[in-house]
Amino acid sequence: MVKISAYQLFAITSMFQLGTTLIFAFGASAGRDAWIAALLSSGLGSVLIGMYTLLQKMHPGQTLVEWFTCEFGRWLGTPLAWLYPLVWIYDAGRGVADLKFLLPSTILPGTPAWILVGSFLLLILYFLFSGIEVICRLGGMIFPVLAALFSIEILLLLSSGMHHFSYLQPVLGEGWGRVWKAVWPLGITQSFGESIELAMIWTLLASPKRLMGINLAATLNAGIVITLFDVLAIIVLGEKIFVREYFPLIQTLKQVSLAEFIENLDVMFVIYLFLSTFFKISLHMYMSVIAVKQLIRIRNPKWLMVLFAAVTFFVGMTMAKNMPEHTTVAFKTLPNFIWLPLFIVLPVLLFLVSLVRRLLAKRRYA
Amino acid sequence: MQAAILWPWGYEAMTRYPWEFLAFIAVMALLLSPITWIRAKSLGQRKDNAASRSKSGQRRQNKASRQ
Repeated sequence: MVKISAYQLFAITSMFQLGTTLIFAFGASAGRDAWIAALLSSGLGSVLIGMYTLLQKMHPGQTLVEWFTCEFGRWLGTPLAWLYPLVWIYDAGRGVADLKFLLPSTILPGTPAWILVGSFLLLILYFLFSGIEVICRLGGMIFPVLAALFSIEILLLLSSGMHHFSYLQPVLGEGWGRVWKAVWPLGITQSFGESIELAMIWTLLASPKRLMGINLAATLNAGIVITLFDVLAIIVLGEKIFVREYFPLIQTLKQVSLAEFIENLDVMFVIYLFLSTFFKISLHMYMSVIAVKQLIRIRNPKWLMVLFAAVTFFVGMTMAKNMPEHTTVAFKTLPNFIWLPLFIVLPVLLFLVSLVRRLLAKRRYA
Repeated sequence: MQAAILWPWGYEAMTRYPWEFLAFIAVMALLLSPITWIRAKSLGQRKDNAASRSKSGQRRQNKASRQ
């Protein structure tokens, strides 16, 4: 039986939540108060993730897709459960679209996007064939590399003297309005609500009692990193450039210049881009495959992986023609019309139904 | 309009008719659900048949019916 250690779950949850959030400015609509939006989002995101872990506690040994059939019955629960793998395939497609637009604009400008994305997906497919144990083990190995990368970036930026803390002031100069706009629903659902996906593998945790603690620690960790990078981007670039830029992280790193020797650190951005998208697309695809595997009760899901990789490629390549289209959908449509119903409304409903049923059962047997 | 119908995940559909994609995956989920029900039924029947074929299974069934 495959088991995941506490550290591995912490590492993959943190990396999943960070994802490509750092590349696109988190809460940019809040301007120089984006870091407050990031802090607030991670606080509210922790509450949401706490609720997901309580749901897992109420359904021991069951995965996300089984919770719905358990509480709503097979006629209503099955279609609701099917919604999740379908939306995860779409989310994987969004990762593919991120790569499609980011790679040619940062490195490899002359290579056709479909070749880059296609070979990337083949690599992911090979990775998925290895199974969840290898995915989690690799997550545990990549996590310290990312932590080291972040520490070096922060140190280099602060020591190159390009920062101005005055860019953060006046704090909340334009009130809470724009901060709240960045937090609800985008801030909460984008990084933290998506973590409900990991409920597909929570049953594999070696020490189930530590589930909530691990998840909250990972969320706190991701929230702090996002806040730190928001602060760094604002104090280096200033509010105007921070809001205008599609990828503030790359612009921030370009400012590093130490003794006219350590310069052009775009390579760090590229390493981060590859690691984060590789991991996020892999997890989206793996979770959708095992969800469908459980729903249609098949033993060998390898053909599903190949099928989903093909669908992900097609969806990712056809969803947007350019970066503005891609980000408009991400910031305006997805949080309100897809993520809010699936990551907040349905889980809250499920939580209330589970709670009421357990309370009634307790009263009956008391 | 045509692009929105053909590509529910495309930019035009997502921005002009934002509920369309959710409706699309809801319809897909409804269409795929019968696979789950049929598989569950056929696997259940197969288990029942296997249990009734084996002697120990028959004994278990007899015991259960007596209870």
